[in-house]
Amino acid sequence: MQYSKSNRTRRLVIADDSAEMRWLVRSAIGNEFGEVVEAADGRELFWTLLRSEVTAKADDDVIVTDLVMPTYDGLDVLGAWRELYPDAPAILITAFPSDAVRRRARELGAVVLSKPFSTTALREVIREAGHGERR
Amino acid sequence: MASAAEALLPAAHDAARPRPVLDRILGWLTRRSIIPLAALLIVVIGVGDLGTGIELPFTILYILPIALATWFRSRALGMWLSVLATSCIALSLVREGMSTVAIAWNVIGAAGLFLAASWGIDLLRAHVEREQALRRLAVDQLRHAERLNVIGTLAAGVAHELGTPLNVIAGCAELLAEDSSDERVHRRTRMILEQIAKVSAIIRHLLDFGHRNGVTRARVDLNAVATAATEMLQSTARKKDIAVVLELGDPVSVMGNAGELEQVLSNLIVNAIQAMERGVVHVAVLVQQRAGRRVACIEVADQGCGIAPADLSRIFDPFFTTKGVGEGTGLGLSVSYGIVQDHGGSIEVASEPGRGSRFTVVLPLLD
Repeated sequence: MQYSKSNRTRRLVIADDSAEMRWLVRSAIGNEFGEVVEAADGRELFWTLLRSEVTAKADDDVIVTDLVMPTYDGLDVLGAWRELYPDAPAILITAFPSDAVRRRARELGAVVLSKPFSTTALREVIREAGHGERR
Repeated sequence: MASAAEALLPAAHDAARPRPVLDRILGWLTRRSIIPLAALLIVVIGVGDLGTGIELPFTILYILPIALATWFRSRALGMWLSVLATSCIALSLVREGMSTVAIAWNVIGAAGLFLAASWGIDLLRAHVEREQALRRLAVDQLRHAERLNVIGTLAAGVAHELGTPLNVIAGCAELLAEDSSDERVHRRTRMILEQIAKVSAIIRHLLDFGHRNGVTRARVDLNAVATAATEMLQSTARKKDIAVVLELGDPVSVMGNAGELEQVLSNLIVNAIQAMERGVVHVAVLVQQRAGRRVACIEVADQGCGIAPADLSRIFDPFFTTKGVGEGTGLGLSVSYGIVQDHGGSIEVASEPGRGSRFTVVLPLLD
């Protein structure tokens, strides 16, 4: 699916158990999005996404999630979310991705970004995911 | 090459090479069975004595010390007691005017009994010592592996926890640089980012050592791995007037990750090159026997400075290095150890200070 919408009309959903990390992502690219929402764990991320489904904005969400989080990890939530919205753009952040994580992320159409990443790389990946074709 | 490394890792298989017949005898000849055996011999001699007409007190006189010697399982004590008893018996028998046959029977009997007892005790002792040595080695290996495992888990945990704060520091530095047009700010944030890149590299190595980085496995030809690593390092070796000689035989396949195994091998070859002033590093891929099993081996042997016995038990510890400041991080062997462990294998070391070292990566052979 091609995305033609500008990020201005999209919502950025940032999920990470580190408040500083959420702040960093928001500071780096938040101003390009119409709205930025944060979630501190997998469960919160899932509910945030479900609420957006109720308000029919699910297609507009760009998800940036950490892999290791309390309750559910990033891949768990993306796996569940993909069943409803197979094309929503998603970026998975992880300290040092194993082959298995990369494989699973690819299956779920998520872009993997390994820590530590530069803000430039983060912006590029999010812009590509938001504007471009689903990976 | 003499092995100062026997205290360290593997090598248990050397002591355990198959000796089925002797092992069966020794297995049967235990601490419990030697005493009944000695008692049986004593009874046989006693009956023989009675048959040849020797009086019971004399039989007891020489049987008792031999029995005691057997009981205390001391060869020296047994020998002296036997000599003493035999002399006493011979003298008293001659004085009593016993027949020559009876005297000969007693002397030979006493000597035979002593020899049988000391032979048995000797075998038993050697067997027990071998078993104890094997057990000590196994316990040492377990303890060593356990220690490295704990360090690995700790290292992986620390490395993982450091990832996020490091990323935040790097991100802040970048944002600072973006917001400023001051060249000094740019220079300093660049320094922050460079240092973070170094820390990240160390963390990556630590994670590799803790082998928490699941990788894909496939059939790997060790000859190809050895060829790649050797070719890659030839020019490094040539700079120091060192030749890396590769000996390959038939294809040797293992299940593993070619990249990781090449990393292990190149670590070992680089260490070998760094340990030498000049000479030859031998790299060989071969199939060997370990505890009756065929295994795939890659050997890297150098003629370098060797490893001090005191350092041997620490060479796989993260950050342990004997190289000069800036020459090594002390992570190469740790990472190699982690990778080989992850492949279900082990690294054996034999080293003699001043003569050189031989590292052997042992991996399960894929038939």
